[in-house]
Amino acid sequence: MDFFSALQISAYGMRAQSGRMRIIAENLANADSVSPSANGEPYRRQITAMTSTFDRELNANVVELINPIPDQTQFRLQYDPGNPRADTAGYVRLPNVNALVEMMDMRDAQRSYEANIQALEGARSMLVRTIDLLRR
Amino acid sequence: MDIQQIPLFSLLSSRMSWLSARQSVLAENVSNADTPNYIARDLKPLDFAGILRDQEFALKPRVTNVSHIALRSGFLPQEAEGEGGNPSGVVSIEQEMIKLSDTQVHYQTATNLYQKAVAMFRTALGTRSS
Repeated sequence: MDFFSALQISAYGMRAQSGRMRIIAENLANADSVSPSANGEPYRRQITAMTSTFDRELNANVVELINPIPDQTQFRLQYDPGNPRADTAGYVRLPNVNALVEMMDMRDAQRSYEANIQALEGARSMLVRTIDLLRR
Repeated sequence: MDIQQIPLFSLLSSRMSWLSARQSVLAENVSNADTPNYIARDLKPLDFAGILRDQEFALKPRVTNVSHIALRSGFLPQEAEGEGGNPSGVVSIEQEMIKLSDTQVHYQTATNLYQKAVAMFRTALGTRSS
């Protein structure tokens, strides 16, 4: 049934976008997380991406989130010689999270989520209209 | 007599199944809007003349044996053409929204026509329809 598969496809999209949102929230929440130990690494930003896989049952390409991978860019350095986590030169390593980038990603995820809702609403109203042919 | 043998109804039902298949393809495009290397797809416009021709000369392959493979019923999506300044194959959410609402409107038209046709039959049968 085509409408149900359309609903399923949109649901997959929404699930992937909300998973992406979760990762973004994790990054933002940890924007200032330093390492718990004296010479460990601070929080490393996680990157996610979408991938489309063919679902035989739905006969369509559904979207899925790939496992997050750590961002390999340099950590931010802050000069703070009094800090116990500072290295010999007096710098403390802070997470490589850029709040601006995360906000932009978040907007993108929101917009895509809304688009999926629109597509779902469309399929739903078409389905309801078909069932309405039975009335009268 | 099968209701599907009435040309109007068979036309409407193929139109409606085309529209619902298109809805699925568009939903796929929207949900894959953020997938790298994904290519936006769309269905070929429905060929009414072709359907009418098929009805006149109903010469179609049939499954007469269980080991036969049925012709895949339905519509094959192909790479979408670029519109509104977008290169072909790139998912533009705006473009997809326009296509979605277009599909909605056409579907509504088809269902309304269907209802009207049924009402006409009722009138012809002499039953009073409110």
